[in-house]
Amino acid sequence: MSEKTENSKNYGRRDFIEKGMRITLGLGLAGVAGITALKGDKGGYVWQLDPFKCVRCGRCADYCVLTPSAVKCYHVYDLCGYCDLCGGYLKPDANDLGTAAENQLCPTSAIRRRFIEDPYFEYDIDKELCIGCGICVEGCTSFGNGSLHLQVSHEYCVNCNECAIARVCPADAFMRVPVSSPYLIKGDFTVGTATGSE
Amino acid sequence: MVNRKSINIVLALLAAMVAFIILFDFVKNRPGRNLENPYEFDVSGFLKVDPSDMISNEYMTLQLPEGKYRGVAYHNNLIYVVADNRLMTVDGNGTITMEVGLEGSPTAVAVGKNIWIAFTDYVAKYDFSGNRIGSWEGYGSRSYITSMVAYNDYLYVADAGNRVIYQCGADGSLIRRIGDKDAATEFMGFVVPSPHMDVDITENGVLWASNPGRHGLVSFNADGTYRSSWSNASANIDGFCGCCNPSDFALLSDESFVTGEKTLLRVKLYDIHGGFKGVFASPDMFDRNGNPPDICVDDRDNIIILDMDRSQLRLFASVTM
Repeated sequence: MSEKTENSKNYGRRDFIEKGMRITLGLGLAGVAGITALKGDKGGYVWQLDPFKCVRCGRCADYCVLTPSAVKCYHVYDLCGYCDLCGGYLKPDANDLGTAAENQLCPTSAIRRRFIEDPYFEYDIDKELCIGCGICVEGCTSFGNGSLHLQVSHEYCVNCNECAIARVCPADAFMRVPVSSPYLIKGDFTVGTATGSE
Repeated sequence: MVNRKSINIVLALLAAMVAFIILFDFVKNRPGRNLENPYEFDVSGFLKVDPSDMISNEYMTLQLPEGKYRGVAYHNNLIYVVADNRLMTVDGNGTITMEVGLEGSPTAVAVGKNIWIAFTDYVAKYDFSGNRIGSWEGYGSRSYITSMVAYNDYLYVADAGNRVIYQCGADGSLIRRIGDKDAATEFMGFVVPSPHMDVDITENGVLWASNPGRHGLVSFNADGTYRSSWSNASANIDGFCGCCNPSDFALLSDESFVTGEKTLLRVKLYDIHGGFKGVFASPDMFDRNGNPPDICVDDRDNIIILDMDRSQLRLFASVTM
């Protein structure tokens, strides 16, 4: 009995604090590791933006960790009118319905215009040149069928844990989508039906 | 000792600066904050119209029940509108005088000796009590009927999907196709990038149709042969921009044109030669990104606009040119 009391006496305040610190530290580290592991393992999800929520604010071009941005313009050919007077390609005050640089809306000439047959023209996006500024998207949406829209291009995206654009997106258009269906292309879904995790 | 105190002060100042930068960045870049867009393409200028161009005199607005409205026509002091699965007639005071259910979603309405209602790819005939008295076979899977006009014993059906106008008899028999691309004629066919194609006819039987991909209108003789056309592709107020404009139109008794446009919603007046005369309704008079209005004209040349987004019939006084 007296021996037990002696042991208890030996287990002093200093021991208690040390043990407490160790347990707290251990739990803290385990917690941080667990949270990190949970955050890091996105279960095969990638970032994407809902084109119906996008407000063409221009931040996709400037806030991506990559230069140029991993957000690119995508063209839904099924929705396109193949117009000569294309609101996404030509400036409204263009001198001519032609390919001269001064007529083009895109600041990097990333849209290629190709004659098909009178009066149809096809418009293709050069992703290497596209900076994701959304000017053409605004033009196409304001004057045309809205066949041009922005998407996170997974050829370029490095899938950051926290997307720098998503953080500043004023329309809350960014979400994580399954890697098996990484794009939200207009025509494949309608307004308000895009599903993903914020 | 003094040195240590100085170092502490410097470190504290640095820490405060770092905290300030982090806080400033957080506030500056927080989602929803309206930062300037260096790539902004400002289209707001196109939503405004010079007041000197306005000839608007909206003298009455008739509020309709909420619904997905698709077409409007005028006949004998009554306005006929189709919406959802129903046909309604409205008198000049906005009173609904008849409402009947339909078997599908209508896409267009025309009134003459009967009431004709299109359901995407086929047409059904109704009497003036709203009883269905016939229908005819559809025009195929590509068909999308967007407009019709009745004239004497004929019905002209604009099929935006097949890019053609059908001239039909009262029994639905196809008399002829109008507007097919034909190398032998001067007319190179309709260009319809989206389902917006309208038809109307003058009192002496000249058929006019919108050719939205070419930003103009085209006319045909009674035998279906090409007659004339005019167009004006421009982002300026006197032209038609976008991919499919004019999306709708109606003819006044002097054969001038009241045109409606999509995307930048506006209703304008053009003379018989296609010369711009003025603006009845500017884009700021409609909901932004709304549906293009359908237009018809009453027997006093007042303009009736079906505002599909607000479920309203908006009446504009006639204009003497």
